[in-house]
Amino acid sequence: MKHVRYDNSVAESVTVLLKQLGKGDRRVLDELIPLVYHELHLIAEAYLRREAPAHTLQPTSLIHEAYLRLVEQSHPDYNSRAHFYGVAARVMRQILVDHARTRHALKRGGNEANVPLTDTLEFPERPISVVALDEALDRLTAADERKARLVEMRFFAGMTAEEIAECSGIPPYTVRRELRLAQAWLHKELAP
Amino acid sequence: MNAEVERLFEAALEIPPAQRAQFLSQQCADAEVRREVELLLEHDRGAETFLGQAVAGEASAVVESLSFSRGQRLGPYSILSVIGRGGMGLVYLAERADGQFDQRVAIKVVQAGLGALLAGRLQQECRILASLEHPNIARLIDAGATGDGLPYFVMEYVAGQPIDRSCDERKLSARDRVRLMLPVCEAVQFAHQKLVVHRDLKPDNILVTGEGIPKLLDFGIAKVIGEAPATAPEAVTHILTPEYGSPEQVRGELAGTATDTYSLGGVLYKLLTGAAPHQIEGKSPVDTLRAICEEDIRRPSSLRPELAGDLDRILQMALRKELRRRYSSVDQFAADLRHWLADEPVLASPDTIWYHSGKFIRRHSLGVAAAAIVVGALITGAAVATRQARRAERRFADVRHLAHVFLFDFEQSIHHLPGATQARQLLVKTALEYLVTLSEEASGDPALTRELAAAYEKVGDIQGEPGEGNVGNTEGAVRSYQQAVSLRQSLRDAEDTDPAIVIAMAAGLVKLANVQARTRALEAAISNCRCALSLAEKTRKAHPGLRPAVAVQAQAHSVMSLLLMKKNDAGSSLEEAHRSLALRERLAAAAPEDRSAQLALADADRTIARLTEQVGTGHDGAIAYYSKAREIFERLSREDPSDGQSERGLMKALSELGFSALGQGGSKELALANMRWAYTIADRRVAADPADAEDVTNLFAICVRLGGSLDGRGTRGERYRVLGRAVQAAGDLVQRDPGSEEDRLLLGSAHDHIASFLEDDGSLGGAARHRQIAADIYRDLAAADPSESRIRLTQVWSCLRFGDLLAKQGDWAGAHRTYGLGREVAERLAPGNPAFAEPLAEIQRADLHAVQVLGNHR
Repeated sequence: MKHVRYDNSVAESVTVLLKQLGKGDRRVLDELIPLVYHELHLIAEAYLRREAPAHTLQPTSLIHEAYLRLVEQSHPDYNSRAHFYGVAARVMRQILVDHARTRHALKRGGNEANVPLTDTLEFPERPISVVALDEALDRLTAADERKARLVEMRFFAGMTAEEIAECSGIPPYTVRRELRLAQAWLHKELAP
Repeated sequence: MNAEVERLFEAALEIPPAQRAQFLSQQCADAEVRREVELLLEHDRGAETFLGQAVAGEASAVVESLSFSRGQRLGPYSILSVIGRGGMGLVYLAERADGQFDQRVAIKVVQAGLGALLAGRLQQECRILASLEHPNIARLIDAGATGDGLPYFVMEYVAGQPIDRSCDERKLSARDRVRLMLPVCEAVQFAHQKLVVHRDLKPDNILVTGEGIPKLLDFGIAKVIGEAPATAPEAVTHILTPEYGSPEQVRGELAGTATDTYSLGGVLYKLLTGAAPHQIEGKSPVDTLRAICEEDIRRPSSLRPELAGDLDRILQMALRKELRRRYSSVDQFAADLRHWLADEPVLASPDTIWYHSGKFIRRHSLGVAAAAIVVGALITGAAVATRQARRAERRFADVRHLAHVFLFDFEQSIHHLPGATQARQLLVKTALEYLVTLSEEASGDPALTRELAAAYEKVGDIQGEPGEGNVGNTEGAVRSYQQAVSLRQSLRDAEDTDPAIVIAMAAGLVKLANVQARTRALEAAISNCRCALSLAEKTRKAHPGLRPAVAVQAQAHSVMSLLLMKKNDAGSSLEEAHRSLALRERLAAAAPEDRSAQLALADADRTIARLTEQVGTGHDGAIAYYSKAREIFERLSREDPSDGQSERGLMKALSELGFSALGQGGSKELALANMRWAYTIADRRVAADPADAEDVTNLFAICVRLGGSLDGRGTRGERYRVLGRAVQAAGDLVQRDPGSEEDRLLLGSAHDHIASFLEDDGSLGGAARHRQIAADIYRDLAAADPSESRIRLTQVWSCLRFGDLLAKQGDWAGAHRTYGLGREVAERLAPGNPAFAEPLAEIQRADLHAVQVLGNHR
């Protein structure tokens, strides 16, 4: 067997929760997210490190890996997969936002214990912070939840339009169309 | 979001920017709405990049914050600086904190999540790696884990440049570059002898010091970390460096010494041509997978003309996609390089048949094969000793005993374990050598002849008996079985009374017939089968109640049934199948603990079920038999989960049961659940042992059934994936055993299935492409064997569907042509063959309609 289970009890819980989510129980998300969070965080480090700073993420594979690890493989429920990806995108977003918030807090006078080595690694100029994006996304969710979910999947899970289409059941053409509008909207909200 | 705004935004995008203002003033009554749309349009440009950068920027910040700082302690070491970023993580320069040794080391901290890490395993592997002391290998000194649980490796620090840059800077000639590869090869070979595979060879991992000495880094670290979970396209991102990765690696299969050979070939390719074998920069995982597994590598001489000739061939051989056709060892590769340097002839040539010396056998590094290696070496050594020790009878007996252990006992113990196929391949090769040697001694010695016959049959089993975990070599199997038969015939001529000999003869004939059924030798197969039946019946008369005789007869009836089905004589086929079932029921009832009898009975149930469906007496009967089979397989599999045969049987029974239940109009969810379960088992088996052709065939069949049955909207993705897997499986089979008609037919029908799916999905162009591929395959098959009715029948149905598709696309002339082709075939074959009646009628109707349409347009 090539799939190595990271933590059996976690895996069982996740499967059960995903099934409930599949039945439409949204409260389950509160429980699910922390469970998946830890796993994704570990995997995120692996994948994020692989990319040079200027390139965009390839986190689709990392979420797939998390999926393989965490979800029961013996009786695959294909609806769960779509839900999982949706959740994972949300979690990825949370990971990055949490991280950004911590960093900003540190900068404002926190300790300087961990000064990263920058001999060979350069920071790119970041036009806006992920925190601002996160807040804008919340506003978008209020205006049009579906579009916000699409943006999440596209940017925080790095999924292509086809992959999003497969997971959400929305045809690719519609996905692209709605994404385009959502992107423009966010850009408008966040531009100086 | 405001629906009006949305609509206008979308519409405005369709219009050239210059005319948008006008369009909006026409369409918008409300000034506020108009303002909103204008703003959005303004921010449309660069939106994606803007957002992407925000996310990526934060992501890289996450990376930076995870790195270690100067002076930080890692075990007994103290961090000095960052050397760079490797494939697995950051690499730091460090020194001993206690000043005990004045040594600089490189520490690689591996990011978590690159595969599960099991502490105990890490220790054991590290011991092996640490023992790799070689002047061209950067030694692994130590290993440990950080406070966060991230593993790190401490290695000898090598100050040098990656080999490709070093060669360029020192302006080395092609000959010098080849020379530089030789110590690299030696180092890899050294490691292989210690059963360590590198798995991630690439220019960045081969540093050349200031003195011009190459040193290999990261040896076996990929192996220590463990195998990443792997499925189709996503697997590509799991292997560390796709550019130099072999096809089997990107597919997520087991990597062995041949994988290193491939990568070394890739490195040399880069050194000589300046380019990597595959350009995958910026490609998606799916495209990378396709490029590495399917696209041909550009000939080195096309990039650098001076490389034309043997060097071209050497590189091509190392970089072959099928690992069995590469150099059998890194040593062989290096040897060819030396030959080239010395202007001597090289081994590499378009169709090299490689001879397996004892040296080769020792170099394989698969776990299960390790034991086979040891025994194999003994055998080969013993075979040589035989010639020298003709007079020493005792020695000879030892050899025979060893052979027995080797071929039977050992094989028996690994036979049904998943993953054993490569080990068994090894057995075949070694065994054949041995048998040839032994044949020289055998004539006139009945006991030895008996053993020889049994041995040849065993080899034949491994080579090609269907349903026995074979390695896809049908023709070899036929030859081996024939050898066995003729040897046994010579025994019978001498000694006709021993029933054991007769039964063995009959069994051998049945096996032969079974394999011949898969090539085109149908008549020969039938005659062999009849012969077996008469032998079995004779023996039963002389010795009533003798179980082996009954079993052989049952087997003969079963194969006969299969053969008659191939001749499209369904009625007789079913009769034979019932005869077989009756005998097997008796055998199973008489000895309930006999697992093989139970398995045989389950198989008989399955066969009857299948035939019942085909002959058309209704699905009810079929389902009852499938259920019986499933029960037996499930029970047997539960009692012994490591038994591959019962697992395989269960898988097939589930798939057939599900499919049949669908046809009967039963619960769709239940039927699909059965088929999905079957798919899971099949997928798992193929992943565990990719070399087993029988499993790939089963996976194919299951994929086609499952894919064909999923027609809901929500299952579109699953369906596409499953059918894609079917095409992949079929292509795989054809590649391994190009002589097999059966597999080509499967490939053709896989394309037909994908075409149907694409049609349903609305992609007519894609569907047409796949129909065409299928049509070409059938055409070639039919040309080689014009009267084989199954190929023709498939071809006719395919013509009908293709014609329908063309008609849908409006190409009535094309439709008429295609219908015409199918019609011609059907009209020719229908008179002797009722199976053609239905398609003939349909295609005639369709063609008539097409002609009418064409006539109307005139």
